Amino acid sequence: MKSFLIFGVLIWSIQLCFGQTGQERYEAWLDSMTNDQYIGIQMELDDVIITDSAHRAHLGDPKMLMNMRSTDQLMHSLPGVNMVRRGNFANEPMLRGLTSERYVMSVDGMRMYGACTDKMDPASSYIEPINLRNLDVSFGSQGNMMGAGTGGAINFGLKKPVFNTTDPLRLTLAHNFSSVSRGFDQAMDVNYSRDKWAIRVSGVHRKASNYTDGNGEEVRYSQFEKMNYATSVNYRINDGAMLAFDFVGDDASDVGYPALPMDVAFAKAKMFGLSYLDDKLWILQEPEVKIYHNFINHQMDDTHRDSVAMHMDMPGNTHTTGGFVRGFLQQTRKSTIEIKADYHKTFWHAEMTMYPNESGQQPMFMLTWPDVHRSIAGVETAYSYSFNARHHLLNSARVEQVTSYISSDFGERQLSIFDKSGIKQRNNTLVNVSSRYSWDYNRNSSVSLSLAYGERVPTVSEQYGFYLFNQQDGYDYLGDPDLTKEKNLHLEVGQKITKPKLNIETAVFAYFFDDYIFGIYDPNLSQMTIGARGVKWYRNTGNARMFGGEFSMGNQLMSSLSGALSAKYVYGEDFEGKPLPQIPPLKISYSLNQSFQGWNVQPAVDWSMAQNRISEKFNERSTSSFFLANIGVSKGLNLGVGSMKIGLSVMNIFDVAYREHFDIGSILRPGRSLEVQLSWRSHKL
Amino acid sequence: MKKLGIILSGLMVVFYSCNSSEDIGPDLTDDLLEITTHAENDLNISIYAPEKLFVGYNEITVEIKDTDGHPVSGEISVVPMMDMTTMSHSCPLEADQNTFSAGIYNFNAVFVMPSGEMGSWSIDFTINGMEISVPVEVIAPERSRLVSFISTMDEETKYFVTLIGPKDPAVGKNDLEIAVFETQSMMLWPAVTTLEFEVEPWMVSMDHGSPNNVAPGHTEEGHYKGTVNFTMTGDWQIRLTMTENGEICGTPYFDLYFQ
Ligand SMILES: [Cu+2]
Ligand SMILES: [Cu+2]
Repeated sequence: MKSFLIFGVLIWSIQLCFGQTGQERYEAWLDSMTNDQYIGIQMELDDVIITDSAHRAHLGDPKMLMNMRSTDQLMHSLPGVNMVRRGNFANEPMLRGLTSERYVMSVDGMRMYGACTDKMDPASSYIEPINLRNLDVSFGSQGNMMGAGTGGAINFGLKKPVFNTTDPLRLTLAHNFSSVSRGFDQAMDVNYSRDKWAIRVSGVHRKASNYTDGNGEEVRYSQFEKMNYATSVNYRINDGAMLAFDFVGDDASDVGYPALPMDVAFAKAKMFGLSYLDDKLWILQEPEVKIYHNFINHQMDDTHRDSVAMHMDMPGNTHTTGGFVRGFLQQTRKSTIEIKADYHKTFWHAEMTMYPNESGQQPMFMLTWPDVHRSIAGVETAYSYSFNARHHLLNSARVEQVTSYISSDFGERQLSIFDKSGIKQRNNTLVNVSSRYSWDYNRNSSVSLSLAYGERVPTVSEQYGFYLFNQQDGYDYLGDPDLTKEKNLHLEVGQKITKPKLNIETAVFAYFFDDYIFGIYDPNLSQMTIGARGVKWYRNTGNARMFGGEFSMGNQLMSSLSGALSAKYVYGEDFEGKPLPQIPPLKISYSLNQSFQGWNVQPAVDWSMAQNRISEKFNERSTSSFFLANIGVSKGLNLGVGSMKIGLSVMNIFDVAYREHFDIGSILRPGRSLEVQLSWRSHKL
Repeated sequence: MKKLGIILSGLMVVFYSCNSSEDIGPDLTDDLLEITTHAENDLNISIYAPEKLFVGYNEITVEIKDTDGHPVSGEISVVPMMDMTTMSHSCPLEADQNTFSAGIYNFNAVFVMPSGEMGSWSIDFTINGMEISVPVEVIAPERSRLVSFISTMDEETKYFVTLIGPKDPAVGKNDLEIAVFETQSMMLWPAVTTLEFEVEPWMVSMDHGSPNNVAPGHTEEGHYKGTVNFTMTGDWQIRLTMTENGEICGTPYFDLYFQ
């Protein structure tokens, strides 16, 4: 491990840094905000800017034009991203085969943690596409300006109100219908601006019944309903300075999780953020100073299930408060230095009350997250340097101090069973360093080489979880307060060709984990959950390795016809050289986009290889190959008042019965579905 | 000012009353429940216990005073007896001291049956040569704390296994203490010191156990101490496997409940 560290420090000591992912966009946004005549960001569901740390812009990918119903569907087709399903709602993003334990998730830079011990509510489930301005995804240990992790970061940028004095009031309405779940969605977005201030208000309501899978079977308990409401206010203090306030509320209710033994009665999140933006503050250029708070309440529910071994109440909640300062120390053609200092603290509580079936037996109670407190303070810097027009070096480094403890005596007594203590504060210092060298070897082409080293602390479940049942492998999981941090040495080679009619991007990566945190079966322990196979401890298991890559090619076939091919693949080995669980097999997608006279036709196919490299420790079964075909048609038109967009698509045309390898349980994904999308906005196309 | 005066005078009353009670010994009802008082032969005998006397292991405190309320000292012996009309019997008893002073005497008794139609209990004292019988009521607790059975090994020995601790069971680690006696005659209930145990706390409604328990081992006088762990609140069973010389002689269990 030491060698990893020395290596990392070496990289850093070269003192050459990393240019940041959201950087250009961010600058552009700041610029635009100080410009009176700024033409607003289009308020539609299909204009989200997607980037990753390798500066590969994945949008413009015409595939995005269809079926933009939810954040889940939006992320589903991103390179390197897969969405783990537990039902038809709140899918868990997976970055190159790594689930949410290993990456950092944030909303507009605000850290946020789901309140469900069963991972029913990743932060992404509280975000609606209509509120998304951009989506930053970074992989592995590459610098991301978000936090320390071994698997990358996802940041959902919230849409901001637009200053537009010539057209101060803008309105967007959108409707979606999805036949497979008889799902109806309504979304509304209003932007109003004056000289000094601008406000944006949006609301989304979504409701769906049980969907039907490719065998024509109704998937029971896959219904959901949610309301999302958001508002942002920007106030210009002067030409350079601005205050920005954001609020997002999201209330989901009666959400079914067919793959899990429980559903959700409600999941409620509220986020508040207040930013101060300026041209210059002390030594910082284009600084942002932000404070934020968010909380989530989650209540699981099994009262609608036909047969449950035992009824349970499982509420959970998290509260996070934090803030950060970021800005540039230097910005020249040759080099930029960006810095960020951030702090947040989070509280987690989850409990479980079990009601025995026999009368005369009393309810039983345990704390599954025993009032965990964690505070994280970090400093991060990114430095990019161009030797000349062709050779660039990007470096970043982050140091993070993490303090964790529990405050519940009850929880401490639970831990006493294992002669462990959680009340004692535990401190971890995390170091993430990365370096990326890129060479534009001719006018259209470049190659890059990245070396990065990242560390993460165990998640709250991994450190303090108490008999958390994992439906996937059927074991109860115990956290270990004495777990140490997990490390990842990340190597990546990228290649990029940008020609007028051809785009090719390739990335090949290798992850070398040390102290990889993984559940290990303990035969001495008996299961708590009725029907569970036994108990696993989260352990630091030594080395794990992952290899893989993404390939994408965009091709202008004719003036109005383009094609897009993409492929993603991951290979993983655990500490014994056995396959890691939940590894997505090779997936290849191809789509065509034909446009004429405002019409857009887009056929697309997806092919997924079978996954036969399965983790026996994790009780995995192999998953067969599948082939999907989709088609979408859309048309935009100007009306007397405003403009309109109509979209029609058929998803899973051949009604294929399939599931992805990493999906939880044996639930199949939706069968054929007709999707109808209608949107209207108050201004012309 | 007036208010303060009232409070002060109130305090003084409290102090005064505290002082005055010192002559007649400590107030046992602070921690204990008064079970009964009995006056006979110029003695006032009060019996105290942590809770109502029950079938199981009772830690009993006796307060002995003269008619003026002054503590008495001297010699004592004690035998709990159950009168069942056709016969009478005693029960396991831990009363090593045969003297007492300052009016206080402690002993432990394992009542083996509840009072009722079958018969009634008394605690028979001999205090400084005077025989005094104090009738007491013994109840059957909601969850049994005494298990009696005939050894499955020799099919002859009758064992009485009683749960002493955990007294206040809670989630987490708990000290387990049990005591085992056998019956040799109506009056002879000696401690059994040669047993070995295995222990498994069990949650019947969910069919699971708990980890890292320590089997009770013999300490002294038929008492065995170990550790039981509870992973959640609710109804638990402490399941014991009792062996002598490697042969199983019984599998007693105790139900308990806590929130
Ligand atoms: Cu949940
Ligand atoms: Cu239980």
